[in-house]
Amino acid sequence: MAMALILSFLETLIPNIVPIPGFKIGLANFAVLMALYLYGFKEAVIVDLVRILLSAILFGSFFSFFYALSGAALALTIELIIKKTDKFSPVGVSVFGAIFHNLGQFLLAGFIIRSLGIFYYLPFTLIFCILTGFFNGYLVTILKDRLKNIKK
Amino acid sequence: MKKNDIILIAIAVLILMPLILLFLNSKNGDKALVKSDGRTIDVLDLSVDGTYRYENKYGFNIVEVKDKNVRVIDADCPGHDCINKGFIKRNNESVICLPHHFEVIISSDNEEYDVVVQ
Repeated sequence: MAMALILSFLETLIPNIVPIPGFKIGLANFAVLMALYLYGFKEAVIVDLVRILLSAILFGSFFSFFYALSGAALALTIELIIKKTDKFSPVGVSVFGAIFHNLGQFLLAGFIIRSLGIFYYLPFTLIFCILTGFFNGYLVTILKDRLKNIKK
Repeated sequence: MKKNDIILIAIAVLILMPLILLFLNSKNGDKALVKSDGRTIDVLDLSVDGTYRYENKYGFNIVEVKDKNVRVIDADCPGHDCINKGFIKRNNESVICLPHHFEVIISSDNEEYDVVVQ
């Protein structure tokens, strides 16, 4: 659990490094996915909540907190379901999570401004998130077994 | 990695790529719809340069039209994503300011024919 918290803390440093508006590489989800594979659902939820709270306090606002929460909640739910089916490796789980993370945020944004205009950008966002989702999932694949050994 | 992972990524890319190509081929628009809470509050002619100020209960945004491009140049929102977005000009491109429920979206008079599939 302590390690999960450290991971989530490390993750909060990431948004500073990538200054492109609206685009993050989602190492956040790496930490969450790692917690999901190493510890379980409850721990993943805690890591997710802590990281969203921390980054909202550090960089964001009341508003960005709910915005981040909408994507994360949907992503984590989907990741859990996909993991349960056991038909995908962490890569597939991560890509699914990335896609639904973005879908969730687009839906919330569309709902808030009551317009479908932003969905124009969805395909562009999704192509990038598949890439980052793949990257995160691959990292989890190669690291989870090693970290499991350390845990013991 | 499992076979399903590759199938998932392949299907997603196959669906997304044509959409991206289609959107990138959108023609430049000739008007901009300014929306607040989903309602169109103004229509800007892109052939006329100018600066416009909009204010609603959430805050203000200042929109600039220049050389058939549109951008938000100032706003009192916390993130300033709308300003960082920069210029837009193609049909259906938009700038949104989420905290202000504010949106500027490019459009054309003959919108049905604005996309050419090659």
